[in-house]
Amino acid sequence: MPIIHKQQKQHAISRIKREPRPVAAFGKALASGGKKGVWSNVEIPHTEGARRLGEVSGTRALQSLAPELFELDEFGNAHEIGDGSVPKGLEDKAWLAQANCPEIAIDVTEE
Amino acid sequence: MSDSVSVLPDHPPVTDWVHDFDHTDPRWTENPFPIWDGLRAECPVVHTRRFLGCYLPTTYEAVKQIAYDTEHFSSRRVIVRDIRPEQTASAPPITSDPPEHKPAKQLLLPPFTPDAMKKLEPRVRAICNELIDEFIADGKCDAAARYTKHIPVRAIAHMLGIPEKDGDLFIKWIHEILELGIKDDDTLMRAVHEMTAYFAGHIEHRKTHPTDDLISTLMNARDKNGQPLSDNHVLGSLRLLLIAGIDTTWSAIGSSLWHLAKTPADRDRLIAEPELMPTAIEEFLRAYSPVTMAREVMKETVVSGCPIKPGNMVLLSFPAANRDPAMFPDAGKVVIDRKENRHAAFGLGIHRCVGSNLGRMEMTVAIEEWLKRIPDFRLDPAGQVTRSEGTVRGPRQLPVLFGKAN
Repeated sequence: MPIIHKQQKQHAISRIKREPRPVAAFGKALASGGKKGVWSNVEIPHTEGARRLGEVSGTRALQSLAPELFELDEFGNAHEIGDGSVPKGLEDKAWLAQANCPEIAIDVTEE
Repeated sequence: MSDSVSVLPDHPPVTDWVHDFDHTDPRWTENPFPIWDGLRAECPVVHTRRFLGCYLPTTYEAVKQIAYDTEHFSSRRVIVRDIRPEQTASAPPITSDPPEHKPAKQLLLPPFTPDAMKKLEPRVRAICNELIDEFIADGKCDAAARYTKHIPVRAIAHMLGIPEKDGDLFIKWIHEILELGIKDDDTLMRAVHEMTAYFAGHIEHRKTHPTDDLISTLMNARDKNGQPLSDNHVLGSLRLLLIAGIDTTWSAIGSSLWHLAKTPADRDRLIAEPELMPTAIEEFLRAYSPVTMAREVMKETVVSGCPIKPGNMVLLSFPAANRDPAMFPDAGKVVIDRKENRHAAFGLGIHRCVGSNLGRMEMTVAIEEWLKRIPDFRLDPAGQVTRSEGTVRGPRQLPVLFGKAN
């Protein structure tokens, strides 16, 4: 799962207080390798067939949400830019991108 | 191809949605949302004997599980119909299961990237304004017939390299295949044959007059052995691109304009805050998702605690998933600044829509240009809004009056 690292702990703290995601509803098989969501103790499961970001096309939405953080290949598939570090000031966009991905293909962790 | 005339199954009005749902019932067409809310309260997946047996998942979780499960659920049939002939018309990649699916889809991705859409955008803006020029002086119009219908027709025709003026023919075929064809096999087969013959003619012409449109892309494609695609594959994909490129977006733009016609506050907000448009578009996609797909159950399984048996279809309702309150707070409200929106309007999993970038671009441009020229408009109380039935839901008549109400 590609990772975008957040750099500001202050933002992470405000995230932890948010409502847990309904991701638990999909959590039938908590396969090993599932990543923890930062704001809840729910694992984001690797559902069978869940698509990684590199295989998903349909990223115009991503372009309007967080163009600074993703780049596209010739198939329109998106990858995080560089090593996935989120520049200062763009943390909200990283979270917004994650919160708007129906394929749960974006993972954001704080460091 | 079709047998002797058989008695077509009856479609009496539904009295028990939980055990006998029917997506062609006029009440579903008119307003499906309370029906889905009621079903969701009963059971995540319901069943009907109509359509030779069909399941309907109504929760986001159940729809997602089925969409991701290509082992138990095949895409070889993607429309729920009254009959199930042995021979199915293929339209790769939408009717393809793995492993055929991936290469068939890969070759269609490059023409639909966001970059490709940026190049097409000015033309779509021009189309929108040409259309508005034709009716703006009338002070009113049927926005579906005069505006929303034509935009995707002309855009996809342009990408395919076929004449935009043949648009009425395309719309006729779509109506016959997606709506009438649910219950009338002769009409469906005739439309498929006509569409196939039309594209075959264009293919023939390009053998001596090559172009750089989508038809040529398919003609030039080579499989992993370096062989061209079969005629069946090329023609099936072209039929898919034409159908998928028109009905869906026509519906989405129309539903969005319908919403804006009756919601002046949202119109005003979009005009005052144009940066809100991408978020609003995603919310229109969620709340008014046009497309319902289908799957055929190949192997027995369980979805959300409900047993699923082979020999049945599944009406894969992305629109119902998008209205699931377990997934979306205030699911029944259209919130144009909804920040978190994991809607499934373009599907989920490997079959996720190839044309989503085109659809989003057309919706955005169509609404932006309309609001620039006609910032105030309302539903015509003397007119009636009608909608398409079955697989793709959207306004087919949308009478509106321009200007503020008195």
